[in-house]
Amino acid sequence: MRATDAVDSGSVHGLDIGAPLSIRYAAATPRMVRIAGGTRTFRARNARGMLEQMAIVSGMLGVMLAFWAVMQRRKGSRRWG
Amino acid sequence: MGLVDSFLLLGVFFLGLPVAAVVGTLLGRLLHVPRLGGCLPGLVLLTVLFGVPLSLRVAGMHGTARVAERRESVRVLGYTGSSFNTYNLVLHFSPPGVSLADATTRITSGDSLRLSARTTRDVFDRTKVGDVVDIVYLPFRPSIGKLADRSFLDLLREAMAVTEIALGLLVVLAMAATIALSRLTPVRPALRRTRAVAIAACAVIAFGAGWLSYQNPRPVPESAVDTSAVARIVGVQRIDRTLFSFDNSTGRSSDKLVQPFDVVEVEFTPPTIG
Repeated sequence: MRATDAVDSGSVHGLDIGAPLSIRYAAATPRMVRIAGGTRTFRARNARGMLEQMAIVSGMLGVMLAFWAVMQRRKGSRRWG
Repeated sequence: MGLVDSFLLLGVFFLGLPVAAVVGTLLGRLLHVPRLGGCLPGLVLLTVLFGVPLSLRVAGMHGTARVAERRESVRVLGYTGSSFNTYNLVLHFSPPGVSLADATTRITSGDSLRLSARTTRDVFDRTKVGDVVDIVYLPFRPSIGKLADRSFLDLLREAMAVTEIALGLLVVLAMAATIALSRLTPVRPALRRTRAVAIAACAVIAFGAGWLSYQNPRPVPESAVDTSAVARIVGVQRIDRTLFSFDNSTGRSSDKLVQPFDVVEVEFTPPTIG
């Protein structure tokens, strides 16, 4: 039976092909495997990184849109003023 | 399906599509049918996608085969690190027209064929080497066959079970709905408001699906596991890059992950499985 688990790089030593590895699994669903030991912070940390990037991109888009709106308004007031 | 069969199918896809487009366009001009150039490639695509399952359904012959090998493999999706398993049974059988089969599937000793058949997890787990299973194959090309109880819906179900595929489909549907809605030009203000809300909902769905896809792979919680074992490592894949990430150390947008991780593939035999 084959299964996978993901751990933070460097948190489990000796991850070589062919090497034995202690695992824990659910007896009812043996393909749900958890490597014994190791940390799993990658999901939260990478998600936070992505959120930060999304916030920056959204902020830049917002500034550009605001700038465009101001320019449009100025153009309009010049035409009528 | 043998190696030659697979190449033939790929050939129909890569050569058949452009040829069909050219022939369709020429015929369309000659016969004054403007959409023929698009219809013929569509037909070729349908043939590639559904030709084998349809021909097995219409012209398939029932028989039996012996399970020679069980093959389970794990596919890791490179950018997210999530994975899914595929299950195949290697079958040996002796159909009446062995000479018609793809030569790469023929077993040198005797008039038998070796066929790799995709199966579901449940069937895979309860099937042992040496079992006899029911199959369907094409009498005029016996190297093309499948397990009798496997349907085309199984393939779709397996595809939808892969989170990334399901979420990707959701994004495509949301984008298609957004394009369709943006082409509408409602006159009444209430309808215009409804359209704007619907477009916003589609955008939320697309972003939400993208975000959920980013949450993979989900580690199995400690509370869900109750048995210990020693497994053998059969593969390690380091995921350290993605197209959408932000590097905290440099403060710059980067394709490097903040926290790289290793997807470890292990093999073991739990006591419940022979």
